[in-house]
Amino acid sequence: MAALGGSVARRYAKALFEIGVAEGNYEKLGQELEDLARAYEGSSDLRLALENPVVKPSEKTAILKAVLPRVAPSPSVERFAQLLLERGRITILRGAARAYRELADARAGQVRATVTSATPLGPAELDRVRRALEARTSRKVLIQTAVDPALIGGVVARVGDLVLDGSVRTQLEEMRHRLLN
Amino acid sequence: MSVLTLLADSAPAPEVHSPQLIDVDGTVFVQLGLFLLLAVVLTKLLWKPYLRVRAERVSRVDGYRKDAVQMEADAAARLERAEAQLAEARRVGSGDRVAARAEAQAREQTLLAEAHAEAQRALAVMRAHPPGQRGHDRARAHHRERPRPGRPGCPPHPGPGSVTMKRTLRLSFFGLAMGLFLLLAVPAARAEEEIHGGVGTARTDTAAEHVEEEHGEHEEGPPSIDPKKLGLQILNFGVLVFILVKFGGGAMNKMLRGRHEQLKADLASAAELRAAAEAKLKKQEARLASLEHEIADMRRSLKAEAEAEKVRLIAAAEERAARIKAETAFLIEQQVRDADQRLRRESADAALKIAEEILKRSIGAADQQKLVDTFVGDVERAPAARSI
Repeated sequence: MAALGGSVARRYAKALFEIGVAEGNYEKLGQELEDLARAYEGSSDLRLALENPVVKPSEKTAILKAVLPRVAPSPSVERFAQLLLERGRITILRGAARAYRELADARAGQVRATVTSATPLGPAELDRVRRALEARTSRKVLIQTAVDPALIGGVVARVGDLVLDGSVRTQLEEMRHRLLN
Repeated sequence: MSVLTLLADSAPAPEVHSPQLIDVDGTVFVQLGLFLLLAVVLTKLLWKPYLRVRAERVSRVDGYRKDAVQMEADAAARLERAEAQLAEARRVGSGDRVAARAEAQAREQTLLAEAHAEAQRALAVMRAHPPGQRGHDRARAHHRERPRPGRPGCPPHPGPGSVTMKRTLRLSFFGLAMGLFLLLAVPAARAEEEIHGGVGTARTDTAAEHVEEEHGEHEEGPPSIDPKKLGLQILNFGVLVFILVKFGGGAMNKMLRGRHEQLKADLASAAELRAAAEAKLKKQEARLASLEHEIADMRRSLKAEAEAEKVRLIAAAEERAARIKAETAFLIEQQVRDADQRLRRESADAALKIAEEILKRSIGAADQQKLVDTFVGDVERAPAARSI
């Protein structure tokens, strides 16, 4: 279901992205879509109201219209959100935002990477890691950082579907496998 | 009229001038003698043989039936005896089988107990040191087989009713004919003798005088037979015989033929009955003759089956014991392997836990820097970086 949902979300995202490209504001639309998805994921009341089948469609539309001007004033994003609501696809909003971002990054020739370390990395270290990843992917890399003490030491970088693991935790696990086998 | 009365009346008969219907004189003794002679002859030649043939016929039919009943009883008794012997043989054979089975089961228990004990020992050792189934009847049967009239194996009676009866009837008719001949021939010879050479000469007196004289002379002489009268009597007898034969012969023949057929049917039925009983008796005799072999075969077969079952049970027990041993060995091996893996896992976990604690305590900023350098170098040098 998740894969199917991802595929559907990518289709909707691609449609909106093409509109944005045509209008020349795909970056703005992408940011508004990102904000709308974050607001939707962050408010359980909003999710319950829009996903509850007891609530009438007209009421759902009214709620959505009340929220949209604050986070996504563009008419394209507003129509996009209303279309998802009318077709019962509002739950794919988060996936659509992610797919839209990937499309936008691909168009801009960049890729997003998540770098996780046991302790926070300094700017120089992050820069070295970014340059290494750009050399590895041949694209401009936008880094997001995260800290996970369970790694003990080292770095884990996730670029799209690619995972580059240089953590001490993973090395200990590999050592454990060798001992057992 | 008794003989004494006749003797008393043998004095000169009263003279009458009219012809007498019954003329009793001395010839009555001759007739009486002839009658007795005829009775003796007929009794000897006809009556007694007839009675004998009749008795033989009755006894033959009854004898056949009696033989049949006797043979049926004999056959039933032999069958019962044979069944009893077979049942006994089966009982003995079954006992052998039970004994063999018990022996096999005991052996099976022993084998399994040994296998279990060995398995328990091995498991204990492993746990203690972790690596981690008839003669008189045949004689009697043989005795019964001796040829005996009317019994199976003997030729049937030579048909006394047919040959003897014909001979007896032939003799009886001969005697009857002889008696009739004597009755007729003696008085006729005497009359002829009187006519041709005897007492009176030819007389030509008047008829009435002659009759009276002759009456007077004849009263003292032997009686004479009038051929004409005799001829009429014979003719009368012939007519009687003709009437009897004409109107009674058919019925008599029919009755005799029916009786003959009935006798034949009875005889055939009795013979058939006896033949069936004889066949049944022979069958039982044959079975009795082979009974000893049959019993011996049965006992041999039961014993062989018992032995086979015993062998099969023991083989199955051995197989089960071997399987228990194999399963035990496999279980031990599996447990050893599990223990080994568990030990390795525990050791690895313990070592890694210790290493992790040491690393957590000892990794500093310089080490983190080296790790980042190593990561960056690996990413740059190895394009085929490990992906998860």
